[in-house]
Amino acid sequence: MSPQNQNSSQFLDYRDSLIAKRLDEINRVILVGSGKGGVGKSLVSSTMGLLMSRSSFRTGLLDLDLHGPSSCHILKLNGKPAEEMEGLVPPSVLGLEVMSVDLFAQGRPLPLTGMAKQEVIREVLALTAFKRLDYLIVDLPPGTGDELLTIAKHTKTKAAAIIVTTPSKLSLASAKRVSQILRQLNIPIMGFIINMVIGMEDCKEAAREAGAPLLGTIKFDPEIAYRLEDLGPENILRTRFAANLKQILHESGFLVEKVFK
Amino acid sequence: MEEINKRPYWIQLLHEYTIAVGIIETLKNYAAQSGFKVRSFKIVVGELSMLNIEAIRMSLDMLMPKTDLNDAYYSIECEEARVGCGTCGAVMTFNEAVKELGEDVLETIHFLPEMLASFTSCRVCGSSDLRVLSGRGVKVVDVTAESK
Repeated sequence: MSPQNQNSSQFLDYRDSLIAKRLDEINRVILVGSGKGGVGKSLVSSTMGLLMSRSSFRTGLLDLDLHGPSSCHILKLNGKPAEEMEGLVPPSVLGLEVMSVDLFAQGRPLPLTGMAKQEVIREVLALTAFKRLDYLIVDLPPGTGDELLTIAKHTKTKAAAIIVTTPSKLSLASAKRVSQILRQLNIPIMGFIINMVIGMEDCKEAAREAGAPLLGTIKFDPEIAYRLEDLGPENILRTRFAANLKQILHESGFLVEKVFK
Repeated sequence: MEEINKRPYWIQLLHEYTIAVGIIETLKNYAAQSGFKVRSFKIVVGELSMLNIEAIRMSLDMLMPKTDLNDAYYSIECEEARVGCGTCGAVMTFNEAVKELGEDVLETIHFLPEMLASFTSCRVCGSSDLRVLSGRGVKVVDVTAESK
């Protein structure tokens, strides 16, 4: 019998295989999202990364807020990732490996349209050589755009999400929209973290109305609000904010095993 | 292109090696899914990625004999870069787009071509709304395969 031939006219994206290989080395992916900006999502992501890393979890942080990356700023990281045989090796702070486009852009703005954002995300996922990780925390930009959709597509089988919001009705309403999209994408939602709580807001009820369990609340911390610029990673871990977050993480099973089981 | 190639040869090879690994994995997956054996393929390398084609070839030649692609034929071709301005519509060539950029910046673009927009602007109107129209990365095309 003569052999059959097959010609592929489509192009094959070499990054898909690399991304799959990289993700094989990561046990769990935690997507940290929000409906609105300025709710403390990046600070939650970075602090969570530091806390988990300190608790002996091998942890990485991927800052996918391409237009407003702030993890390098929060963690006082600079210097490009090192180019090694395995790919781009991200720098680390207190054991937390961090990858962000800001390590390249160094504070410059990055104007990108939708398709270009997808390209950048795929390139970063394909090239970043995190070590074997227990957790990769992904700091998402606010909303339900390319960043969320692209990372969800690639990490679907091992991702769960935390949604950060403030107690304001506007922020909660936007958070609800994000949780709806996550559900449609079949990404389990671990719950809401309600940040910058000042009074005695009924956060549990607010979270329930927004359609997800409440992981916990974090009180407004003036030290974080007014002195974040000066703190750096060591001092962030000494703030009331970090203590609050640590308690939430402990109470939710430090961290996500309950959700994944 | 000349400027980026001033980097030591072994450093150039690292990124190209990673890409070669990705190309081979992709073709292995393609073969596994289709049940066919890959006979030939073409790699298109975008000019903006500033990849060293010889380094890709060297990495592929080193890796392929250990796989089912051991007797596959391949060719590599370069795709010219075109960068368009989203504001005035002007289109720049690679040389126009990377003119005046230092080695450090070129290395960043080598990894993440879209980051060009962070470091330069339209030669005509000054806008930083630059969009990579062609020649950005690596594509595997024209795969031919036959039943085993």
